[in-house]
Amino acid sequence: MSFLLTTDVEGGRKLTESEVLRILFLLLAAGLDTVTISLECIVNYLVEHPEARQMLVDDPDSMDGLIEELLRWESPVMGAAARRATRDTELSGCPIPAGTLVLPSLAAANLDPDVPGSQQVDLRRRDKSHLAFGGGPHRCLGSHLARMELRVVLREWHRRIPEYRLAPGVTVEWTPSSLRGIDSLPLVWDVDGGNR
Amino acid sequence: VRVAIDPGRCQGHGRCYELAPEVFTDDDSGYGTVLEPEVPAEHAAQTREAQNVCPERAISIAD
Repeated sequence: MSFLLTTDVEGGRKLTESEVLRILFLLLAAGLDTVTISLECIVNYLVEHPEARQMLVDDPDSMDGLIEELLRWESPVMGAAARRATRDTELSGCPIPAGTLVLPSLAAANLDPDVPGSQQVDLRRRDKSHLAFGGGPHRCLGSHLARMELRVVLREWHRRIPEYRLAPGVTVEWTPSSLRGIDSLPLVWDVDGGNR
Repeated sequence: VRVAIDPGRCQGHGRCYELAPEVFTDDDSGYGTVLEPEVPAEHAAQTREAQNVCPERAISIAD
């Protein structure tokens, strides 16, 4: 925040109060629920796939690849920010007149059926060029921070709680939004002296 | 092998210099740059992997 207040832009002027507030609002809006829903998607996948969870516990070095593949497979942020066509164009045979708003689906791109192997999860996939953080000049600027947060949480969680499962009787409900998340994911795990 | 990053395509995802810090690094704005275009054989595999993970397909390799 100090940097925003003191930095020079456009050859010497300071950011206006409105610009600073809008940058901070974007930081908050873009950086908060995106990471939490990504964690919800990943932890839910690990609950549903004990062999993946066990791989993470037995081989912590596999974590980076697991995160990338599940970001691709789950695509927690399903759509990129809307773009507006600056000229008449066409995408895969679909005409897009100038001025049209286009909402690209990152989830569809990540599961592109023309890409071999895209329809299966491969936690040791070599090609990690997914578009979970978008692409082009407006790609997610927070991707580096998001990856760090995901790694820290998953590493520390599994170091302390390597085995866990969904609480009995719970049905996972996804939020109906372009941000795929789970409002409540109650987990249980065994501790010395009984169940918690 | 020889490696190059197309600065017109690179958007600073940072995947290359995280994966192969012996070959790539970041510039002041976070964009990927090549440390030494001529990559020794022991780093060739990493370099190809970095090419694979680049979402912008900005990395080119010549044998």
